[in-house]
Amino acid sequence: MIAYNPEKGREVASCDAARACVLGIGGAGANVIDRIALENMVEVELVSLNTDIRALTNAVAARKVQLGREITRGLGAGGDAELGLQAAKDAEPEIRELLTGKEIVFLCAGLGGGTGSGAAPLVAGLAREMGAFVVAFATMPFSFEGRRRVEQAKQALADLERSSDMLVVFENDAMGKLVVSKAGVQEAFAAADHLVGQSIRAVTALALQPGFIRIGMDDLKAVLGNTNARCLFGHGLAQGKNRAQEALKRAMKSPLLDGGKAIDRSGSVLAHVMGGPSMTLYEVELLMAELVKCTGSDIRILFGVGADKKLGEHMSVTVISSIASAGQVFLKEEAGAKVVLEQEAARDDAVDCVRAEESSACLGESDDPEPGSFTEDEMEDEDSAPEQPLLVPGEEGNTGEQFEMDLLCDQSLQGAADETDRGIEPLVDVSSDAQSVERADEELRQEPSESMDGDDPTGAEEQAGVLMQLLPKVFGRSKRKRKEVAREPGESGDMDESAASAEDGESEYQRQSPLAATEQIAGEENGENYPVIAALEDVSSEQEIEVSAEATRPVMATVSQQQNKGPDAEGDSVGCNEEMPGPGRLAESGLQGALALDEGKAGRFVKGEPTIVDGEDLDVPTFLRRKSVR
Amino acid sequence: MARGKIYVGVEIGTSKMCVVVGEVNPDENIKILGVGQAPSRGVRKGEICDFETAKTCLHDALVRAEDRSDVMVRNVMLSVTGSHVASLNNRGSYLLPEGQDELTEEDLDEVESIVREVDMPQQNVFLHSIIRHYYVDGQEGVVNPVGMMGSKLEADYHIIHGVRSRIQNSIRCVREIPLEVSDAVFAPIAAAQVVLGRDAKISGALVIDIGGGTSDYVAYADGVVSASGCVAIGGDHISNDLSVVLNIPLREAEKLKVREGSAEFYDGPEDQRIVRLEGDNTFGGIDVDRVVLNEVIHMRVREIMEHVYSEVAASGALERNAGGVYLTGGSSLLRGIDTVVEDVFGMPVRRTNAVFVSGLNATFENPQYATAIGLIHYAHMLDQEAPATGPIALFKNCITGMLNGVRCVLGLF
Repeated sequence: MIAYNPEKGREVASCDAARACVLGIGGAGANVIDRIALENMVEVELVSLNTDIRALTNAVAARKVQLGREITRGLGAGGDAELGLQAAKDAEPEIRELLTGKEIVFLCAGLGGGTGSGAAPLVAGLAREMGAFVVAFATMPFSFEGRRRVEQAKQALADLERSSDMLVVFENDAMGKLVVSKAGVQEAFAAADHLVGQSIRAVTALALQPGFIRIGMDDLKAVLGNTNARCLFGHGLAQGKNRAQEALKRAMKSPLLDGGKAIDRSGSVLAHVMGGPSMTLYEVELLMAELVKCTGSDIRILFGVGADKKLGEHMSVTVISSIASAGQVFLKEEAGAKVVLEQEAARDDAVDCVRAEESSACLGESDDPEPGSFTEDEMEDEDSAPEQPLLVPGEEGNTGEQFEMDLLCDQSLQGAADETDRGIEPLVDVSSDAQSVERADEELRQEPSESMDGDDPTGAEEQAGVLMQLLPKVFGRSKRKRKEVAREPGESGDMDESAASAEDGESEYQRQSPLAATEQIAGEENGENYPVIAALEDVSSEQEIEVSAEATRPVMATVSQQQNKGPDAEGDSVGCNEEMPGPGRLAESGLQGALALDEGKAGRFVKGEPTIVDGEDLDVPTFLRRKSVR
Repeated sequence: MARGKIYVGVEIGTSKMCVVVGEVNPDENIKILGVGQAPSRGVRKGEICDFETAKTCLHDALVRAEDRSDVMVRNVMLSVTGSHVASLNNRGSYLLPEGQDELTEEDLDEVESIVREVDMPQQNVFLHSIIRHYYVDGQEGVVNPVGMMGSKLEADYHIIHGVRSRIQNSIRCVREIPLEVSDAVFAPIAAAQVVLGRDAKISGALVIDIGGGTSDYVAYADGVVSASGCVAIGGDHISNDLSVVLNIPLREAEKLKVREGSAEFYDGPEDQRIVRLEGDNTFGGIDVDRVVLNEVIHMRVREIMEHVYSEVAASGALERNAGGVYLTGGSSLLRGIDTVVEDVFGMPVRRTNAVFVSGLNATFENPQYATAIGLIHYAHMLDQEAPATGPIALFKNCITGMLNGVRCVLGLF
């Protein structure tokens, strides 16, 4: 009998580690990169890209790229995606150099912020343009982070989807499920980062590591290629007696898969099993049998097995599946039982129409911005404000259940706000002729993340029925949502009329005129996020300080009061548009000098004479230089 | 009461200042009388970067040493190190003048001056030129050729040199205390004196002194120095790595390294994997995964050792090394470091300290003091090698000896 030698049996890796890299864009991306570096998950180059020099300096990644050296001058993008995009464009040569010769690029970014939302689609596009297979991991913001942010994230997600080959989306709201109750906020974020890191590890393992039954990028493309770039992802790791079942159970529990309910039954599923030397065939068989139970037997399963000594006694399973149609997306999100998600979606509709109003007003294509649009704009600003104090206990109490409870409260509050939304509905000029509805539908399909709402009402009703079974408690909510869905096309028709000419495939922020962008900053971001800078910029501008005070003050007044007050505030912010003290302007004014990028992380040795041997700064931790000597 | 000669060794280290007072008895045993130590500030990578602070620290250490040993210190041996110190082996040959066939002391001096004509930067000075072997008319391995017959004398020297100003900085620091510096010695040369026995030197051995800021090494083969040098990375770098990677204060990182750190990959039980670092009012506290902790340490230790290895291997000194590696210095106390070193060098590794001394046990059993104790041995060796010849020199020696040995033993009064 010839003894089996696993060493010999191994085939050559199809893509060596030097041709892959992991990019972390923005603060959230950097966190994930840090987590990957600290847990030594993957053996590929880790690069951190950021506008914020302080965050960049503290990042663990071996390689760092400062975005927008001239534009933000070492400050962050301040939640302004436009600025993030400009910053990335500014650093394009550097990014190109970074991506040269890379065959597979993993990209992780937290959407919603400035750098993540702005730079990530561009970087993904660049990578793809240079011939790399782009796998993007995007994190959506918590719903409590405010509408604007969620809206921005959705927008960026749509862009990212276009510019990457594979997109895995993590909803922060869903991440709440990951953490056991009584876990700290820090731990919750760490768990979220960990999940993202794990998925990156799993996909790199797929692509780079040899296996007995190999699954490569080709299979991955086969699973994902036919539809849009978004995919479902689950990863489980377990050890012990029942590790096969446990691993699968954990994979299926993944917030993205949700017990396999989300898997598209007509499509295909990729399952990759990894284990240490002790993994047995029986275990693999068991695991696959379990998987079929979850997915149904009709499904096409692409199956791979690999061995990794690093895993030791552990066994891991990765399940990847495509989202076949918009209906499936809907199913996923609803079956996900994420009350918040839905609410978010519902809110998005509102946001969408507001955005439409806004852009139409700003583009100046419609004759006059109606007073109604202003009030609603104000409304929306105020809507998000009362959420914040409510969510503080959620953050501190930080138990998973409490967290959801809070979000439920939040939702009911939101519901109340929506009621008022509907109250002022007549103010909005709704032109709901059939033609515009049709066009709105068309347009909405271009943005698949939102297309679920734009699909035919019967489909939505069907899905709502599924939801009803799953979530009897929130049925009322979903019904209302449906109403909104019904309302939505009419409103988006408005948007259609105003901005349809510039619609074809271009990103939202590209569509928006610079004025729109500045207004957005002046109206919200600037006042809230940069009070200090606002004060710094021009103390003599009283008007401006007034505005920032307005924005930062906790809003206690009733909606009607705010409504009355609205036009005034709006007038103020419009008035100060000219001296807009956003970070971009700040850079132009040259008030803040550029912060130098501290390349080295030599700690206490920074000030001293560096110890450089063979062009390597030995004062920087070996661990970080990743001089992989193991 | 018969007294031996008293020597004082001073080490200006990166992590600590150390003054060791020792006595060499007439039977040539070294006895440690007292040790003064003070945490070091103003020193980085073995070299002074803040003169005044370093001076204050050194003064603290000196006061403690004088206090404990009851010796008033005047004259000291000083160890120097730093990345600027370099070494090389050089051979020089000298043809005896016509008509002379017996080798004399003058001929040895002559050949030494020839050997010392080496290519080195202008600002550098010799720290040591250590004779390895003489060759008389092709005969190898002559230890002392004086009195031998021959016409051609060759000599192999191990030359250690460093930047003059940087060596002088250390000397000046000591002089301003004020103390007299009788000689400056490259640190690992001193440490090797008390770490290696005669047998080990002959069979070949490598001493690595891993200190706070530097890792110094010296290799012996056939009883003589074959290579020496300094890699300016040490235990401080390990702490700094932990501080940077784990984002904790340096002080906590140092504590963590000493208490929990190991250079070996963690392979212990899962439930002991997490180390809890308690916070105080300046530091929030953190949970550290031993896997990460040990890996950071491992990577750094391995890198240090790889640098040492490549330097030693380049000089060819590892070929005749039967004794293996001797680890000393404060960082050699790190758990698991021997495994890593063994892995890199592929030869037996032992941790060691100053073994050929007596006196305060706690002192010489700590590898941190190997260099300072070695200085005493080295000073004694120098005295023996170059005994005073003329009566004036003898008188001078006597005076310095008296000054050196003035004892303020209270019991005497």
